[in-house]
Amino acid sequence: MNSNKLWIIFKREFMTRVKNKLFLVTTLATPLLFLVLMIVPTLVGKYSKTETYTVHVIDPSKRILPELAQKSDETMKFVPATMGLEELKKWLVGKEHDAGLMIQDDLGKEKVNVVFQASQLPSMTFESNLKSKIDPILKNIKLQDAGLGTEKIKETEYRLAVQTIKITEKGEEGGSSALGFVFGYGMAFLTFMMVFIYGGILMKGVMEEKANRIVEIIISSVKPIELMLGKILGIGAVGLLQFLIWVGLIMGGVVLLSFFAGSEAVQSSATQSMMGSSEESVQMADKMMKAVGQFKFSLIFFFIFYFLGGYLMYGTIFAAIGAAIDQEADAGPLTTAISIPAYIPILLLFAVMNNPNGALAFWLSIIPFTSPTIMMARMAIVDVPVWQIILSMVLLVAGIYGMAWVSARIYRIGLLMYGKKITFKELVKWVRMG
Amino acid sequence: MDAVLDIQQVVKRYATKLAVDHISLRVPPGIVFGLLGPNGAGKTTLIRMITRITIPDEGQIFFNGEALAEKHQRKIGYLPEERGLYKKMKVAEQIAYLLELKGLKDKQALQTAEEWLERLQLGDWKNAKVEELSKGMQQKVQLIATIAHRPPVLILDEPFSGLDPVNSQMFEDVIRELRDAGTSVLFSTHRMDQLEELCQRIALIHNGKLMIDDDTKALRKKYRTNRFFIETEEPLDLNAFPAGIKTEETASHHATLTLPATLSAKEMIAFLNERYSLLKWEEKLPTLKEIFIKVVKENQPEVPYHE
Repeated sequence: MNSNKLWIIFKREFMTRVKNKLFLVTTLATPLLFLVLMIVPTLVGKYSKTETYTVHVIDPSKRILPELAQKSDETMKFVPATMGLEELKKWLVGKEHDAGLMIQDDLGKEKVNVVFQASQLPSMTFESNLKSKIDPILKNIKLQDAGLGTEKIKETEYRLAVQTIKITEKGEEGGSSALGFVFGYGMAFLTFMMVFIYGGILMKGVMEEKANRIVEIIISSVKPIELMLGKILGIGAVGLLQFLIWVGLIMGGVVLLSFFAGSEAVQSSATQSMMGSSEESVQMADKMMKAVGQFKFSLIFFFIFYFLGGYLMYGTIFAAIGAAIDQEADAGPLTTAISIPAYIPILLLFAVMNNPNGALAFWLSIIPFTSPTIMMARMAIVDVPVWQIILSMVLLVAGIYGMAWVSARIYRIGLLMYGKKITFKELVKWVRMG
Repeated sequence: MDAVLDIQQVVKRYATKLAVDHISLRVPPGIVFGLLGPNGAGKTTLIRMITRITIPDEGQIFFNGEALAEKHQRKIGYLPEERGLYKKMKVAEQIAYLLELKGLKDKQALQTAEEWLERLQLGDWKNAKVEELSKGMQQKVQLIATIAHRPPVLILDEPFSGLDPVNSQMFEDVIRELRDAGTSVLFSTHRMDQLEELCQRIALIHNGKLMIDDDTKALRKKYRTNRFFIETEEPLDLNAFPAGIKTEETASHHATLTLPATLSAKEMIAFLNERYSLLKWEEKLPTLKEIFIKVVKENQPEVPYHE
């Protein structure tokens, strides 16, 4: 192996792709899209003030309105109605920022009806907000009617806080199983996608060289294995660079976002709709931050390892297929056959994530064909024993060697073979021949 | 004789065919060596073994007396029969890349590429993409990428195929120029017309076997057929000629004769001088094409190879 020639090939593969405008566009557009998807709901929640109502309350019992009026905020202001129900209904027609609220007479019944009337129907969030404002008032009234004094009522108040805690060797760590799940899925898919996108780019690159007929000139200067490795590493480096730029941009974007919209906005998009009180949403956001902080560093390292590992594992095969075929149309059956082992973990991902320490999860994260995706998913949810990680990594490296050995043989023969439709049987023959 | 390339008993087998069958050749320095043969004769297979693209099953190849190795690849310039370029790459960068693979440093490679582009009137195109170039221009670019690192050995596989007459002449001029500067040029072709003047030495391959390996002039003498062109002052009376003489292209004052084995040229000249004033007597040596066809025909029918 001539490292100088390898470097020259690596450099060309890397530079021509990085200098390509398409690389710039996809690298910038992807996280931008991601950010837009994150920011838009936040900003909509924060800045859309169109839902402001002056709510004219008809409260025959006169027990709810006084307390409700104190709960007025920027989206709803409660005032006593100055007219009767029928009159109010007529008056509301065409009014954008006025609404009527009719509370039923007898609060003692099991079912209490409240009717909200407006010419513009409010959103679900508004509705649940309204409900959460009336609900505690009504409950207090019911408790009072049942004979409890104010002191006693205070005693019945409580707050429920559910915490999930991960026990590790270092002690307890905060975390969230739901977030781990999302993270695991995300990591597994990202690994899978990156491997296939860049594997595809590699295959196309090899095929173009063959179709262009430049390959014979090149292999009169370098060994086919040097050309193959130079290409695989060069294109892999492009993928790695893209990933690192994404991580940087997304992190920068999140920092910028929280600075720009305030931490409240970040929390609100995720939590406000589910949680009533702001105290709980602060707690939730804190949890999120902790979880994110805990994932970041070690997982990025393992992602890089497993992305590169998976890419090399499948990339060598893609390179071999690219060399074996004459035109892209012939690639179909071969790539499908090769892709099956890569799809298996995606199909079984849900089962693995539900039981991340089970036998299925263990074996899939050890076998080199599936380990890049599955190990990433497992690591995101549970602490995988160190020996399993080491075994998985060692086997992956060994698998890459094996695949490279097989692929190099196919590649070398395929490069100068034209006008022959290649079957799987043929490829096996080439491997034996080489 | 010092040989730049010394090919000894080289064999290459493919699944059903013996592509190269114990061929031995020596290419001396500073000459143009023509490798002849019909399509499928094994020329490209032989060339690919010299460029180390494939490895011989048997036999050995020596470069300047050393067993052919990776380090010799940079001393060989190779233009394959089927040749192409990266379509999206800039012309100068493309040449520089191929030169770097031949061992030039990056700056030097780019500078050399630009000098050659200038020389072949492609200077204005150095930053154009290859796909923007005409076919003729691309051929020039390929030639530059093959020769610009000044290899002592040039191997050209069917270099003239697909060239327009202007580029064909240009390629020929460059080959001659490099030869005069001491480069050994080995090129293959299935067309004979350019060969006669361009090649000092010729090898003929047929069905994977070496049929002929000789100096061009000596070769034509060897295959002489006793054909002569004559021109006389007086009208010719062919009927009075000795028996066994074949005549062609006859006219009143000139003819081409083929003498039978029983009649020497000396005797024929004596015969003519007695009767005519002989203005011209010229031996018609066979063209390479005629030799080529003769040798190939003699070796028919093809004997298929069985392992």
